[in-house]
This record gives sequence, structure tokens and C-alpha cells, in this order.
Amino acid sequence: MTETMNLKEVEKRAYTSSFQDGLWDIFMGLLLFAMFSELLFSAIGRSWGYIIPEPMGNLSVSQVVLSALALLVFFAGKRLVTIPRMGVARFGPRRRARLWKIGIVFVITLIVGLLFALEIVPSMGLPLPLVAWIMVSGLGFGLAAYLLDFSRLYFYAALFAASPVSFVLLKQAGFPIVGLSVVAVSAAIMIAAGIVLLSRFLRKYPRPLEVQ
Amino acid sequence: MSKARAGAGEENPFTDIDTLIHEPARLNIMAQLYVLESADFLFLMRQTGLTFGNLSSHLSKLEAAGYLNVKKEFLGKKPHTMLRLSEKGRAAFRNYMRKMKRVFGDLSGV
Repeated sequence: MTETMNLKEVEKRAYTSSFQDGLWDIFMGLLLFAMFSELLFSAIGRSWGYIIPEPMGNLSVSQVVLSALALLVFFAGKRLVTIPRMGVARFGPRRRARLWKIGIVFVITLIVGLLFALEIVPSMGLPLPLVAWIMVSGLGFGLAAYLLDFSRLYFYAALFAASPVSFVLLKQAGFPIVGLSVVAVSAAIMIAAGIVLLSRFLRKYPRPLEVQ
Repeated sequence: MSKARAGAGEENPFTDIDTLIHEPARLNIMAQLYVLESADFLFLMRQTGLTFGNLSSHLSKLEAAGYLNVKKEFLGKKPHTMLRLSEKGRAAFRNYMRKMKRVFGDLSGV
């Protein structure tokens, strides 16, 4: 045996094997679609209505329903598809500590994002809700990508951050439908990537015949 | 070539290598379990690429040597057999790594 055994690589490969199922990709795509769903449905005359309408807030029925669907697809997929094919592992303290860090990062970016979105902090001439979105999605998902060793998440963080910016810019330029199309296409890219990965995963890891 | 000499007072790095761990499939299994807290049979099978029968046979040998702890748990309502290295197994693996590093350290001049 002449190769150095890199145990960090062994652990990383074991951990990132769970990302082969494409469920994270599908989840991110559905989440992005959910965030812009009311705008998309309204554009085609099929609004689902609001739970908290403006000016008090901006929470639509479709956002809640589709976000819940995204979560359901993710967790049900893990339970019914991934675990029966990949098995279960518990990772060591180092990996668990990284997961805790992700949680903390998301909480902090969400709090800061809320401060910006609710315009509690001075705007300094910036569109605060947009800044909040870019922070939470770009910074939050970007850091999550680093801590999770999940390289595709960097690309999705960029898509998440860029979608509202392109929508706002195109809307201001007089092309709101094109702006919404950009968002829809970004979501579709993630979902399509997830479906391709999932189908590959199902072929590579059939359900084992032996019961453990 | 290593300058190992037979005889009292000088340790030959090639002796006392744990041949239970030294077998490639079992080394793979030990490495996987060393970096994890625990894993079930299916996860190990996927990570090592071993067949069901092959993995089962190697795990039996490791368990017989006291290197593995086997614990039956429930994931929801489904039983899962979780495997983890025992303290003896972890110590044996660390010892194995130390000895192998020494073996290749001694051969570095070749």
C-alpha cells in the first residue's frame, strides 16, 4: 500500500454521498419557485391570494403551500428514497459542529435580513428588501455550501441571489414578464438538475434485496 | 530496503502489523467506521462497494476480534443494526496507522 490514507477525504466522501440523490436541488428549485410564485401566478391571471396582504406584509397562499410542498418532497424523499438505498450513518463531532455552524449562520443572516427587509436599519439609499434577500440567499447559502462541502450549492446560492435582482432590473426596464421568466428558468434549472441526479441515483442504488 | 534486523532489542516494523486490519476490504471497513460515529450495514456496503456476503463475513471477523460493537436500534418503526468501532478497535486502527507510517517512513530512501 503506497497511497497515504486520507481519512478526511474518506469522511467527506461518506458525508457528501447523500447529496447524490438530487433532493437538495429539487428542494432549492421548489423554494425559489415558491418565493416568486404569487408574482408568477398573478402574471398569468391565476393569483392564489394572500394570507398577509400588503401593506401589512406580503405572504401569499402559494408561497406557504409551495414552500411546505418543497419541505415535504425533501423529507419524504430522504425517508422513502435515500435512506432505504444508502443506509444511515452518524457522523462525528467535527461534522456535527459544522452543521451547528450552518444553523447559526442561517439564524444570523435571517435576523439581519429581517432587519433590512423591515427597514429597521437605515437604508442608506439601498433597496433594503432586495439587499436582505441577497444577503440571506447569497451569503447564507454560500456559507452553507462551504460548511456542508456541497459545491453545487454555491451555484444555487448565486442563482438565488441573482433572481430577484434580475427581476427588479428587468421590471424597471419595462420587462416584468421577462424578469419573472428568469426566475422561473432559474428554479427550473435546479429542479431539472435534481431530477436528473435522482434518476441516476435510483439506477445506481437500487433497493437492496437483503433485509438488514 | 528497511534495515530491520532480527534479534533482540530492535523492533522490526514489518512484524506485529495487525493482519486482521491489513486485509484491503477490512481496512476499508475500519477506515469508514473510524471516521464515523456509527453506520448501518447498508451504508457500509455502499461506501465500501462490497457485496452483502463479503461485508457480512468481514464484519463477523472484526466483531469476533472485539473491534466492533453492534447495536440494534429503531429508525421510526424499522429496526436498524448500527455498527461502530469499539475502543479496542479504534486503538487497534490507530496503532495500525502508526505502524504503517513507520513502515513507509523506513522505506522512503528507496
